[in-house]
Amino acid sequence: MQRISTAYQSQRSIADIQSKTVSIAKLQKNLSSGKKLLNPSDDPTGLAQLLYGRSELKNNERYTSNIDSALSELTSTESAMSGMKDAIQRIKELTVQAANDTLSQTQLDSINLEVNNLFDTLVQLGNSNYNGNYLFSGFEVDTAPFTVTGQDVAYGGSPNTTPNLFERPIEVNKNDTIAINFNGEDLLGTVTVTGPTTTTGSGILRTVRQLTLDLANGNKANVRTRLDELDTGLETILDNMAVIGSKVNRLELLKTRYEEQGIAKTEFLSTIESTDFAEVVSRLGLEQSLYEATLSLIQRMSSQSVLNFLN
Amino acid sequence: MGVPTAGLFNTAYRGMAAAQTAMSVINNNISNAATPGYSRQRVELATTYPLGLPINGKIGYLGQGPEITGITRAHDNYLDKQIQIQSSRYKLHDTRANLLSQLEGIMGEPQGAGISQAMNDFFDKAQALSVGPNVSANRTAFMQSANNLMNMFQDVGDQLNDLRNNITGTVGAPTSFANSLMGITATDINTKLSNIADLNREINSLTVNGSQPNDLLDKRDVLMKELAEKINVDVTYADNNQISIRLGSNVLVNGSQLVNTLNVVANTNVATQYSQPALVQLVNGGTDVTSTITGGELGAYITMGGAGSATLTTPRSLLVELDDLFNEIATQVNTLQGAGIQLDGTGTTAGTDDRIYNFTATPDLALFGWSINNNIMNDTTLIAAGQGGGVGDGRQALEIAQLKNQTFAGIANQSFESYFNNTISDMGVSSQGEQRFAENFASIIEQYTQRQQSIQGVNVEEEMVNLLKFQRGFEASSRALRAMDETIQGILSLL
Repeated sequence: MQRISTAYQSQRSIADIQSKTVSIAKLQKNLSSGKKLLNPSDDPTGLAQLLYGRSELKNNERYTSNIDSALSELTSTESAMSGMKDAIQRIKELTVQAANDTLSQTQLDSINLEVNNLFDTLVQLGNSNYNGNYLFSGFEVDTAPFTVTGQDVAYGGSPNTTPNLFERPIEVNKNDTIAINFNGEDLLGTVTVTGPTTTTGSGILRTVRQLTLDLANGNKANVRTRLDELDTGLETILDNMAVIGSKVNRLELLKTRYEEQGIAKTEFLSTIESTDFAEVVSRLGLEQSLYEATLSLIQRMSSQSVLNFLN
Repeated sequence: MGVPTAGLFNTAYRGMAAAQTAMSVINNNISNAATPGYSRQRVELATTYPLGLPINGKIGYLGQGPEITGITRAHDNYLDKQIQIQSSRYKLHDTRANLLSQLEGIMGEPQGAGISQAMNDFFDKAQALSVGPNVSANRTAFMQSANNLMNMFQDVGDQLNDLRNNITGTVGAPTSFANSLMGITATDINTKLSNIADLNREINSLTVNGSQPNDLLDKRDVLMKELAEKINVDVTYADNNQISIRLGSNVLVNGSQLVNTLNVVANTNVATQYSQPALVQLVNGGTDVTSTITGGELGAYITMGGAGSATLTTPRSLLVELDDLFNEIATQVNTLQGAGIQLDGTGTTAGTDDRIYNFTATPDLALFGWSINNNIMNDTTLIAAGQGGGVGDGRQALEIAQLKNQTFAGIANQSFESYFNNTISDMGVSSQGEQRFAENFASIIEQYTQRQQSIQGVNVEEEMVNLLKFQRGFEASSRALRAMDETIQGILSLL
């Protein structure tokens, strides 16, 4: 027959009560903190997942904020380009008018006045800035890309040399960067007036400056040849606007993806980290009733003694 | 035929005396019911040598009542030994589990106030710098987060060192070893060894004189269990209730002789003193017994104060891994800073601003030799965030940010993040493992204790029933005495 010692019986009772209160305290901690993963040893593999997940969320937040700033810079760039497009189109209309044989030099001069204004507009748009940073000067964001000296315009931003030494990269995905700025010289060109009827340089700026010289000189044949060059200049702007469009699309897609991933990821992390309240509450109920049962059992047992029956 | 009258009285008296002794033993049992380690005692009764009487020409024997032959204790040495062995194992893992839970607290994961947060923050600030390199706030934030990252690693490192030094003592501080957890435990063990040797002496003299020193044996059993909780020792039982205690092949106690004790000393080997600052030696002979101590609290302190292993994370192993990690981060960040172009368009100057973190050599781990480069901290335009494109060039900062996703040979071909997460995960696994071991051994001890208690524990009900038995025996003997007394009085009245 197994003997039970009285001291051991009460020790067991204490141990039983203690083990019950320990598990109840643990459940209460889960409930009050809302977390089931409180220490690495609670779930070592879950912990690694949690840390990776948090860092991924942090990355996504950063990428989203990078995308947001890229998107607003691209929007500014787009509106500057759209202004350039309007200006060039207006210059084209004026050129078509000027090419008309019947126009007098006075009329040509007044057209020239407007073309000159539009030339200035193009240069001003080329010097557009966003948040104090010039849009079209590459890395030299504190330097105006276009400087005007008399009739000449020079480009002072980052050069367009291989490999694209003007593109400011913004990381939008792991090791995936996107360039969001455009080279001012590629877009508008430069111009230097070399004589009363001649210019050197490139791009739309040279075309328009040459046009103003042609208009001033009344050289209508030359004015007509400018029309083709204006089309080329317009195409450059439109091509770049298309590039902006595709970049914006890609960025917005990525952004939506991060938002969705963020929700899914947060949900996943919460399954690792957070308390399942329904489960914990029902377990707490069970533990409590077991605890009460233990107490009442101990009470009954301890009140039972042979001493009660001896006198 | 006649029976000596005095003999009749004696028989009754013996019955009463036996009952009284038995009752006082029961009384002792009941009062000690709650004494730890107490073994219930029993009165051994036998019949007294009978009186030979001639009856019808033959010899008849007349019983002379009971005689007390001894008071024995109900005990099982085998269970004692098992409980001692399992206690050493239990305490080894339980102590480790406690220390590991302190480690978990120091690392502060996953509460989000630890190193992983500081790392995420640093690379995030590098990203922000890459997008807006000419924004002063971005530059300041980058340097602040670089400083925070370093401080976080060093603060955690300090705490790990403190914990380790509490366990073993501090390298270079000779007096700290005796006051470390290892030192205090060793002193405790020495006291227990000495007490056991003293008890052996008393037990020996009593046993040789033919007594059974039950209470002293109980006391020694309790001491043996406490000793086993501190250290793994082998116990051998010998004649005259003597025991000898060995640690591996080294005798510590031989009967009443205290042969050897333990001493915690500084490890003077320069190559290993930081990974294992303290050693345990025998006082007589100076033998190093560190590797022999594999159980009990002292065993736990020795392993947790050491370099750790693949399956056991220790403060030192964590510190070494954090050291590797931060050294790699600092080296990589410094290299990029050195190669980049500063805000004014010039390259960095060697020795002044070509690094984010300065380094001074340390006797121990490099982690504590790093400090933030105050030249850059005070003038953040010196951050080499670009590659020469101009003030809007954040390409070098982007490369710093992208270090986050690269793997490095110096940290086992892992990324900073995965290296850290694995470290923390391993610590969690160690901690969980030790907790489970401790629980297992606790339940094994529980089972042995239950068996031990079923043999040696006092059951008050049982004692009360026995008490009744002897009480009634005493009463019966008294009545027999009275009957005899009355009979004799009757006879005397006739005279």
